[in-house]
Amino acid sequence: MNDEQSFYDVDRVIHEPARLLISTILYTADQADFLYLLNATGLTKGNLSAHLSKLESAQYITIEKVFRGKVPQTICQLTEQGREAFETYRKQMNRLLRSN
Amino acid sequence: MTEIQIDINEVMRNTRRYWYIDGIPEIAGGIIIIAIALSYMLIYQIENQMTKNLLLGFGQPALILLTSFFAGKLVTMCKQKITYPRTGLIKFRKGKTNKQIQRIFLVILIAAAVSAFVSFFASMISERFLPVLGSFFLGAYSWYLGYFNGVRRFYIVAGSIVIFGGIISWLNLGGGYPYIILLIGIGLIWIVAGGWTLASYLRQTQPISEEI
Repeated sequence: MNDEQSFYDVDRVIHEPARLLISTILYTADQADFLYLLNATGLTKGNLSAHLSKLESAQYITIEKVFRGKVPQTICQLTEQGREAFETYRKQMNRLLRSN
Repeated sequence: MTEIQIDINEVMRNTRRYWYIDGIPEIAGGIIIIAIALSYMLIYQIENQMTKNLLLGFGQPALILLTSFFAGKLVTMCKQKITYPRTGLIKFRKGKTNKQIQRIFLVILIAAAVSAFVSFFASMISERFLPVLGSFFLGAYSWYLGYFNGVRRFYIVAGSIVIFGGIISWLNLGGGYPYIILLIGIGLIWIVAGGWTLASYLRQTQPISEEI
């Protein structure tokens, strides 16, 4: 497979910078809530919600609503499929960067 | 290529660093070290050599495991009350049991290697310099933690530990007391570093009480 082809094969769901950032955080930590992701990514609430929905649609993350006392909390977690997709993306990008 | 460059390793390091944002783990670590020092001090007072050996061989490791277990619970509880409502929750992936056992064996192996290394050096140098040698290893561990997790204040902690070890060696106290004082001092250094961090974290953040 040539480099150009390999670049086009990169997972576009993860390749987008905000989603790559979210995926990296969730890959390192097992779970993170909306508040942490908001602080860590610097995105707006709407933007973060949109990116989380995209990742959820691709079945890369699960989103669970729980209550901390009376305050609702949104917990995000990378699925096994998401973990594999992130690892594949990372390998592909490393290979591409090495070949350039 | 992406317009914004994302350094994956840096993001991973920042995520790991979040565990230390509030200073709570350092305070817990300091408490464990002081508990070890106090138990060693109590054992040191016992005159019966057999009881002493038994307590050093079994009692102290049991106390370390027990203190670590309760300190872990305390850290989680404090984080739930203090940190998560202010800057958000992160839970780290727990390794599979096999991997955890492997890790425990690895830690035992490293501890044995360090102990053999220290014993080798101890036979070559005066007993007076053992505290500074011990503090050098503990300082190196703090430095490594700081590097791995990207927590710069751990470098200051590492430096303080080595300086404190140097002072203990310079004072040249006899018997087992230099080691007890060294451990208490190291525990206090961690508690002060953690307390300072916790105070500044509480000053800079406010709990979020509404849904976001």
